[in-house]
Amino acid sequence: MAGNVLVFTEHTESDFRKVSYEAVSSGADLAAQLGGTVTAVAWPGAPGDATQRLAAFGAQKVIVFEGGSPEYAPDAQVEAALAAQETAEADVLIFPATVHGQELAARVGARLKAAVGSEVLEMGVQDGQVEVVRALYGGKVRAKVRYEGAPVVLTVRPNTFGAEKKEAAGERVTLSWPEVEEKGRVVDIQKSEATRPELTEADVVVSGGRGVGSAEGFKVLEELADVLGAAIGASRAAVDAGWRPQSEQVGQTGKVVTPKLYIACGISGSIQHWAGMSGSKCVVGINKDPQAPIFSRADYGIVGDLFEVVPELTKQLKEIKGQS
Amino acid sequence: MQEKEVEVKLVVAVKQVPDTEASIRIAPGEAKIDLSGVNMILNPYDEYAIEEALRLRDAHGGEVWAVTVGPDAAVDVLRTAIAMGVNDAVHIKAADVLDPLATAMLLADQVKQMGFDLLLFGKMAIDDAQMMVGPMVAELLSVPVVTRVSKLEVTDGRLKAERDVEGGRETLEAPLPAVVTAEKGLNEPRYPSLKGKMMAKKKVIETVEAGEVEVREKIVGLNYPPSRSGTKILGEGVDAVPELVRIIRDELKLV
Repeated sequence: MAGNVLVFTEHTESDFRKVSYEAVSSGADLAAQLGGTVTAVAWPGAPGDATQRLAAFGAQKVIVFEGGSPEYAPDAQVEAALAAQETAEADVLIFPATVHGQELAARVGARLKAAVGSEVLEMGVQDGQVEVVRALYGGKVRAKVRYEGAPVVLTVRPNTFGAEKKEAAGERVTLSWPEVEEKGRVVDIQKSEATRPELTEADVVVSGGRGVGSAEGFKVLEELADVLGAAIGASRAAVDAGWRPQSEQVGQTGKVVTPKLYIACGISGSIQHWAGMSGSKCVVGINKDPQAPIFSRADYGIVGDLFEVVPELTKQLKEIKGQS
Repeated sequence: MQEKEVEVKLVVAVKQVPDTEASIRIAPGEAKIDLSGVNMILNPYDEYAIEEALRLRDAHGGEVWAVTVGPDAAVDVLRTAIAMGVNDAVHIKAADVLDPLATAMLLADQVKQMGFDLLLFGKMAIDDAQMMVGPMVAELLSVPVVTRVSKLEVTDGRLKAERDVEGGRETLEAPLPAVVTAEKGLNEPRYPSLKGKMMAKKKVIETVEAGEVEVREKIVGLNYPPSRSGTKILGEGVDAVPELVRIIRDELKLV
């Protein structure tokens, strides 16, 4: 195994997604352990200074494409990814664990007959083989998984790996965009109102459960989220009751979130919910019921009515922000 | 007279997984999970895939097949699928330790023989959470795939699917045959009826032995996740707020 690592990025209109920098940075660490080089891939439509941006997080080479449009073209992306793998002579391919990234990783993995690991928590090398840590059974168990030989396809979730600045050469490698007729087509894209950060990328998540009581009840949580720049999450109970959209559900049958701070309001804290937020650095539970399971697992707890505690918290945080 | 829709062949790939309520134990001294006594269920996301297939069958005519890869006991999830209303099922008998590529290759071989207009999966299996097998099978068969679908329409040999992606919601179209993976919210899965359960019990399910597949993934260690040091109760009601504000400001440095 030559030990070269290829990292795929994802971007918005203005920048690469944070997970892209995290993937490049952690990919560079893995390449160093394997004794290979790390190459990043920027898709058509990426920021013009993609090379510099990705080099700042350790990309020794950056593959960019000539031709191709910024429109989502999954079939062409598969072929382009395979071309990039060949150019980089990559043994390990890392994708962001986004909806598009995860789907692409699987398709490229199938074509390469690769060993695959989704949403890895750690990446390393043992006895010359790639070894990762993954969560199984909704986070109830963590497995050390070793992959025999290459290629290996991995995906990384936002906020799992740090994005460390490490200057690298960022040599620009240009490939031509493959001419592929897409099997399907995108007929519509509804952009979500970007007033709040993406749930899976947010530093702070304010989450509500059964105790919030109604759709209107989430207003106090939204006000807290606004002052903290937080995303809104919800328990299964709140989603099933129709108070919040499915896209906000956190848990074993919802999203997995990894913020610095997770504030669980009126959430009892079932093991299925815990599976979705146990990767949070700090968990605060606010609940009326002192016996709620959240109070045996959260880092901090406040026993009380969320409709009193949350507005007071919002008010005091606003005052601090006003002073600074 | 209204023209009858062309009948569709729907195949749903399902998996047997431990109940979400189950506590998972690591076998002492081994890198293995001890599943003895653990209640096994149909993967929850697969229920959405089955329900959608049943609805499409009822709207267009045709039939729904379920297929699974797994050990002897995995046949139970096929019986659950039949009890929900699936017409027929195939059990690909294989060791319980496979990786996504191996599973995808076994499934791809099987469904290619069976033929399908639409092949449905749950968006992920809740045990190994790989989210890989559905799109891998699509790629192995060179058919279009849309993952994490929360709204689906099928008309005139094409599908139209909606899904949430980071930053928005996409609507995609693709020709059949195709693969989709089902997100929660796609529908409200039905419960198996009593009659369905009776039928499922009696049904003779075809079994095929899995071919040789290479597995390159090996679990070399298992641990329980690091436990938190326990909850520090900051107090009751609004009186506890200043301490939480201090933690958010001084320790977490988030304001």
